[in-house]
Amino acid sequence: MPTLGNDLTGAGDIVGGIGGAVSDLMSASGDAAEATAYGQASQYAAQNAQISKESTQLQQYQSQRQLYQTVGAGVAGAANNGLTGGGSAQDILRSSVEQGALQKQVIGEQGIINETAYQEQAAQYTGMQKAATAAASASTAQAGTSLIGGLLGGVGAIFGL
Amino acid sequence: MPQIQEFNAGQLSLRPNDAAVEGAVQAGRRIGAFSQQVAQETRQTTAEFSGDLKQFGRAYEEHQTQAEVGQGLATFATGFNGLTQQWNDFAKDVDPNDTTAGQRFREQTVQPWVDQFTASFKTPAGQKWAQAKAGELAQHMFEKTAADMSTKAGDAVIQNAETLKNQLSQMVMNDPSSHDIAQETYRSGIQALLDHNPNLTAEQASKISAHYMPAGGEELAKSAVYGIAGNNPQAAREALASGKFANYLDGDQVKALDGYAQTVQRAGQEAAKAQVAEQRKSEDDAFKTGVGQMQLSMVQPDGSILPSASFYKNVLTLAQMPGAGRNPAELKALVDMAATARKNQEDHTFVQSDPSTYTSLTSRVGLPPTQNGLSAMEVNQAYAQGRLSDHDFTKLHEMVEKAGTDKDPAEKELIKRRTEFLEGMKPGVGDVGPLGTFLKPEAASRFYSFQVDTQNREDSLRAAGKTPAEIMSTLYNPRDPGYQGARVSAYQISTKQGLATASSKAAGTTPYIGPPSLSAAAEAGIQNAPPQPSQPNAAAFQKLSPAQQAWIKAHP
Repeated sequence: MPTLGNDLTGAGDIVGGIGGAVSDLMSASGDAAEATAYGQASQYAAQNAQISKESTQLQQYQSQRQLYQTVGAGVAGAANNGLTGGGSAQDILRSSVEQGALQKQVIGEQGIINETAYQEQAAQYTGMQKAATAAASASTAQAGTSLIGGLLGGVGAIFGL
Repeated sequence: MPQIQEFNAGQLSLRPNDAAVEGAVQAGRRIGAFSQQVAQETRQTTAEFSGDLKQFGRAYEEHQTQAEVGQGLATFATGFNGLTQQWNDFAKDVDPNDTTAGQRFREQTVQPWVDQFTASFKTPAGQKWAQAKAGELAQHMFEKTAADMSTKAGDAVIQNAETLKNQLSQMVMNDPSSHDIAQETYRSGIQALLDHNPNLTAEQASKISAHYMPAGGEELAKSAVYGIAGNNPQAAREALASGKFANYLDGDQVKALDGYAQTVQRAGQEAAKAQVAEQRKSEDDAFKTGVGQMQLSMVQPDGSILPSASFYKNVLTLAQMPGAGRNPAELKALVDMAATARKNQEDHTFVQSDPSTYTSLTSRVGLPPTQNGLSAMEVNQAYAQGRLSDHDFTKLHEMVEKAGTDKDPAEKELIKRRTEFLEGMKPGVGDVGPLGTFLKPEAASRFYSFQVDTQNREDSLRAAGKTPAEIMSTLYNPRDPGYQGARVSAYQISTKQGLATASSKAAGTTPYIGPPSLSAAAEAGIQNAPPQPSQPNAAAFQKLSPAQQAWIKAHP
């Protein structure tokens, strides 16, 4: 049996439900925006990984070129001095080649490390994006629940159910 | 050799920039945190508002509830009292054997009130309170109606048990042979009454069973003994001694009933004796009635006494009656009286009553036999001895008969009053001795005249239609102008008369002393002279001898 007291109590429940729904929607909106930001961060991290990869290739290329220049200079110098590739000159050239190979390998490894780190970072932000998206969805659903709960509670209070 | 310069780009390097990533992440975190904060504040604000609304609503609700409960309390109290009263009125007239009465009252009266009561509350708390109170009331009414109906059921069972016991007891009393089946009927009947009454509590059933089972058995056994003893006390004693009723009666009861049977035995014997006595009395009464009828048959239309031709034949019939053997004197007095009457008739003898005898006999009329009351036989004997005139003989018999009957108490009272009056008047006529007899014969004669005068006045009043009570209030009431006692002085014997009588006595004659003369009455101060004593009628007068007729004329 509706009474003024019940009506007020029910209205309180409805207001509470609506307020809860609004706040949940706000929360959902925030979560969605956060997800978007994380998505962008993930994209940026992926781009960084690509850049890092390309940077590694570039460094390896430059290192290879530098090695060629060094070895070429050494061969030319040895030839000028009448060396035929044996003895100390040969040892120096061999050592340069080995250093060059080592440098290239280190640059490649470092590049992989950097690329992998950025990829992980991108994956992490992708995960955070998904989590925020899920939170937004949950908050949206919670908003509906809060609204329905508030309405039901209000109606129940009004009719004394 | 030309110097060819090789371009050297230097250490070129692509460097990823984390700022964008960090910026996006920071932005996301800030947005998330901010939106959460806003949502939280929104939630808190609306929650507070909601809380305020609900608090206000609850406060209002509580206020409404208080108002409802306050009003509901009064309604509840009134309804409670009303329902209780209604139940009391209902239960007062309800049939104790109606096992559905309590439930019917609850359904038709209590429940509608409860529904109406709870429906009048609007607030949830009020409704809750109302339902709780209604529940209490319903519970109370259930317990009360159940208890009352239980009590009534108990009363009904007790009443039915009593009725059953009484009916069976009566049956056994009339037919002692039905004792065993009556016991079984009673036991199963009580059990059925207890088993089939839903209102009866186990405690009540137990109590009733514990009391009425043995009590009924005892009652029926006693009735059987009483019934047997009523027909054959000895058989009752033998049945008690055989132990037939040992299951129902204890030793004291058996002893008491045996004593009862003995008493019945003795009573039977006494009753037999009483029956014999009653039979004898009945026979005596029949015989005396026969005697009385024969006495009456001798009274002729002119007042004279004369036995009829069939008198002696009837006497023989009387003598053969069972009561005759025990009352020979009655028969003898009758025969003697008849013989005297016949002799008087044959001798033409006109007998005057002996005043002393008449006075003596009348003074005993109405007294019980234990106080020497006058009997018809004595009247006959006096007549047979020549001491009574025909008229006085008839009159005395009438008095004896009226005094002896219980049919007319007023007549008996009149006789008693007259006897007392006459006894009291004796000293007014003459000197009376210790035994109530006159010292002087003439006084007895005068008193006889006074008695005759009194009787004549009674007859006159009776002929005038006066009742015995009116006669008493006239003749024997000193305040009445017609008081008979006022006339006694006219019969008082004077010294002169006494001397004359004495000289006559000395001369050997005892004349009849008649009533005083008118002058004597005038001397006594009586305005209206008393009437003369009764005179024989004309027919009888003619039968008198000349001497007798002359004497009468000389003494008018």
